[in-house]
Amino acid sequence: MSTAGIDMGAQSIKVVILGDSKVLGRSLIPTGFEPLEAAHKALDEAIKEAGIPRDDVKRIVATGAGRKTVTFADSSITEVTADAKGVNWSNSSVRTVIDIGAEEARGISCDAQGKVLDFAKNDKCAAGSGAFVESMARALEINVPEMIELSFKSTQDAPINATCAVFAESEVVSLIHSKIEKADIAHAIHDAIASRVSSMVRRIPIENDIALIGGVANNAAIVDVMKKHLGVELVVPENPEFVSALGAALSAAA
Amino acid sequence: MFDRFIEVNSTFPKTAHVLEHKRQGGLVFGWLCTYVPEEIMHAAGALPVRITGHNQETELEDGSAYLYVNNCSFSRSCLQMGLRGGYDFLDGVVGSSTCDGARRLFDLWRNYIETPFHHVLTIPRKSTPEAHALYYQQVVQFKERLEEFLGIQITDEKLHQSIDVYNESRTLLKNLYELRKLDNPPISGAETMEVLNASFRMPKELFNEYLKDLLRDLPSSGHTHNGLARLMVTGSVLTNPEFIKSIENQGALVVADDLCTSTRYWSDPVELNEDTTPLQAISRRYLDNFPCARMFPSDKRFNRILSLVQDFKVDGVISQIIRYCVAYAHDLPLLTERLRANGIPMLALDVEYGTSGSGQIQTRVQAFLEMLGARKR
Repeated sequence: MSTAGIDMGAQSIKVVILGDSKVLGRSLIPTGFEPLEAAHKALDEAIKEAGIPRDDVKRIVATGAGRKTVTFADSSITEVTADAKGVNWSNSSVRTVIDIGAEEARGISCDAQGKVLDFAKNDKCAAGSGAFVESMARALEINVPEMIELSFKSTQDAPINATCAVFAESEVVSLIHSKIEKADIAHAIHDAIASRVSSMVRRIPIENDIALIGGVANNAAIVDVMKKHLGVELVVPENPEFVSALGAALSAAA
Repeated sequence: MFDRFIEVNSTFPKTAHVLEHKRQGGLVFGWLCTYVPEEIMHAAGALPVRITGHNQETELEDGSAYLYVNNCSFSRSCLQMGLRGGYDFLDGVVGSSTCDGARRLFDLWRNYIETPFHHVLTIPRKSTPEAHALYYQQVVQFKERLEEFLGIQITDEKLHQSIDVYNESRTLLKNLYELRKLDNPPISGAETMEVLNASFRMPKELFNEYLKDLLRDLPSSGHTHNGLARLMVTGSVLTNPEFIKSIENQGALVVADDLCTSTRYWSDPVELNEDTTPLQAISRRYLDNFPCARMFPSDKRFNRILSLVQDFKVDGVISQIIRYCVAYAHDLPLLTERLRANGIPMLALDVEYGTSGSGQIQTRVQAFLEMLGARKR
């Protein structure tokens, strides 16, 4: 028997097909303006990759901000529960999960069984999220991979104090006008995000091991500054953007 | 059964009862905080109503034009209603120095809204003999100013009568809350909030009659509510039943609260004895009542919350704190720790006054319920 987990993210939909405790297939497509249609498409793609008949998928669980739109799912769970389950599957020594997505960041404290003990999420603020990275890259007129690469070349700190994405953008513009090196600005942007997320995560008990997941966990510059801010090592699982979908698929199998 | 209460709230602030009272030549006084003794206004023959803001989270363009953004959205929402004429029937407004938000709201109200009488009480933060002496003097001064303004005497006899009316209301609300302790209570958290809101917005005598009818009908009504978890709501001032409903719609049942618009409003009666005057008894009750987070020491409030948790068999606590509601925000880590030590998880939400529960809030609540569910298994 196989199950599917669909993570309806703010920016993209991720699907994981699970069978016999193995990931059989995955897909990732933009959420767009027709989320239900996109969810169907993402599921079809993942099933195709898994190479199994559609009927083999016995249960579907949705998660993520748009979980309620997946009317064809059997049930839904929040991304908090899904994250803890998904991380626990590959790494049961993790006690703290930090998830940075396109629009939201969260910290989750969990036990050895992947049960949630406490959690914190950013409130009404985009400054600690993937969308912020993208908009700041636009302000610097470079793409995100370029910004990550530049960030490692930074030689000095530049200040970004704003706790709001809109104000931060105007600070970046001021830094550009003050002839601050692009590399230093790129680093400052990543630093600002790490600072926002770390202070939010500190609201919950931080215990080793600590995993960083979500699309932003693919950003090496963020991983680097997050380690410095929290003063700890971070585990980044393979395919960190699929962990919530995996957690949903696991919950469907349970 | 709740229609009569809901009707009062749906016409707020200009409820039929307020308008009728005015039409008959009665006076209506607005009060801003639970540290303002209502019995004194009642004994003066006025109808006391509580000043609250817009029923929903709304654009606060007028409120924000006059109050700096670090004043809470409750104070800005109340001011905006006042500026837009929502409270133009008031003959007086009575505030207190409970917190900065309440105090600044009073200042601006006095300046920009033409209410004939205004008075503000200084409220100590402690419950020591000195604090009681100071607060008593404030209560006496308030009574004297009111007597002077109205050209009447507020006699002990009148005060006794008002204490009786208000104490009866407190007892009835306590009886209502007793029903919430049941495993399958006949009243939801959202319905309770409709009853409480109405209690601020109509003559107490009539409210008591409504409530007696409700208490007579409820137990045999066949209404029952249950949920995945029994929750308590704590934190800042809250008047929007939709917020509670959004929690209950996700499968939880709100069975207890310690809000200034709920348990903290009605919990303690005015205790009369042979050695005290009614004014002394009122003064003692208002300063010693189930405390706001502004009061010291915090333990007094925490202990009362913990006994509510026990009495109402609460599985988890949701704290909703309005931004810049500093007293509650500062107490939160201590309260979280106290609850955790007693095995009670806490979900802390940052909200604006009037919120009915956004998608983000709903996700947090659902995750909290999933967490509580996993604990039970």
